[in-house]
Amino acid sequence: MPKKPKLLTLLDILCLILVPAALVLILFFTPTERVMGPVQKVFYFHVSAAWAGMLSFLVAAVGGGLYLAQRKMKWDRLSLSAIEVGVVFGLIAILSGMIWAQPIWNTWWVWDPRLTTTAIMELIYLAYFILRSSLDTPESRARLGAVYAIVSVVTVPLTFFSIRLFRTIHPVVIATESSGGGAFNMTSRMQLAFFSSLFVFTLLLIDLIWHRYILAQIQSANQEIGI
Amino acid sequence: MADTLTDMIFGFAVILGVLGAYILILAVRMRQARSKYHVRTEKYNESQENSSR
Amino acid sequence: MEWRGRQGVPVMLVFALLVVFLFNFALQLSPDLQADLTAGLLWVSLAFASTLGLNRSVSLEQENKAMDGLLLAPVDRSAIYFGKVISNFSFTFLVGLVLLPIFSLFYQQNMFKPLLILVIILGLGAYTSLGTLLAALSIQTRTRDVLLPVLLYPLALPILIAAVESSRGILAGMPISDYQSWLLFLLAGNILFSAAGLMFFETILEE
Repeated sequence: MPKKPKLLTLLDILCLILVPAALVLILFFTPTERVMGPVQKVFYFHVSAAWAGMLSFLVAAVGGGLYLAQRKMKWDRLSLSAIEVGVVFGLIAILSGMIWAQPIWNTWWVWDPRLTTTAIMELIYLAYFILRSSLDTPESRARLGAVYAIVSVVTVPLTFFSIRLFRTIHPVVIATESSGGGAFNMTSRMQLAFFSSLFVFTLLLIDLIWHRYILAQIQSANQEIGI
Repeated sequence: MADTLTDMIFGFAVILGVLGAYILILAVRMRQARSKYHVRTEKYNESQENSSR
Repeated sequence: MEWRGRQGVPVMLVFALLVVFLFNFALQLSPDLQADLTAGLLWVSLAFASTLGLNRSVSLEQENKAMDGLLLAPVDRSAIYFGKVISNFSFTFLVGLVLLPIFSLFYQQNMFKPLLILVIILGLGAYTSLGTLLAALSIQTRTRDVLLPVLLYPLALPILIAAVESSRGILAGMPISDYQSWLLFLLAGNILFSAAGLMFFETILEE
């Protein structure tokens, strides 16, 4: 019976402390942006979530590759867990992006490179689950899922660059925040908050993937015991 | 400066809300899986005992 | 086998035309259409036609159990892959060639630019490479070819964007420097997806 590793408990506690800490840092320590006001602060977690999501999909692709090479189910479990968690972070990124955009540009949706890429990415990885659910054996789910995860990850940077190119050819009058964190000059305080958020979200990512992985282990074990 | 304080609160609420919801659902799934595991292990052990008798 | 599938070409063509008409009425497009929309419309039609072709060839094979036969034969799997890619590509390309004069007629655009043909070749090359790979993937599933659009369209989006942007540039008579990055992008896509197809086609078809 997969026991919860002590390291994971440690990680849980760490996340429970650091996430609120990061939030406090953002809320009270960073300067408020002149034009956009407080809502700009959402950006710290928004970018961190997007980053975590993309990292997750990278992990999933690596897991897929390892599965195809070694044919060990544990890699498939890793892949699956990473994609599920990645989809959650992607959702957070999209929703927070929309909420950030709304008061500024008075619209819920902007065809901004980041937002559009993330939405497409979400669709691609949701399709992963549709693919898996339409397959009947654990082996085929693992094998075909692995291929899909690897092919998909290649398109993530591809998609991002294509839309990025698209937007520079059509110069958008809207503020340069849409091109991402580096666009506006961050003060050192903002930088601290920014990188802290990235770090915290990365820890959170590892934590959640790990938990999801254990769930996958138990579920596999359950399937086997029946036999 | 734009008065976007409520938007900011909304934004963070959504972020933490989605995270929280996922963690909660994950915990519930974990509990269900573990209990299923125990039930099945017991049944398995029982059937093992029965067949060895 | 694939040659027999050429009966699918008229179907694909009719479908593409239907798409054109549908969009025309749905969006109330006027005859003096900008290059922007013509390019987009062209590629939407081609994408749909190609997907339709892929679906048909896949379901045809399923009915005839032809895939099993093919796999038993001592043929290199990559040859099978390329065979499929080439056939889907050819069929869709034919559809494209027919669409060009039609577009020229409907939207008063001279579509017969050699660069545009190149873009169509590159764009379709990448699209069909990816599509064939995903088609092989989707026939393994219970839902079969219904899954293909779900898998293909999101992943193909960068290719389509690049194709539309290049086409737009060509049709609007912009200098090549404006859209050459898109062309390179398409080239990269071709290489990438063909490589992926070669790598994974066999894995997908494992028993």
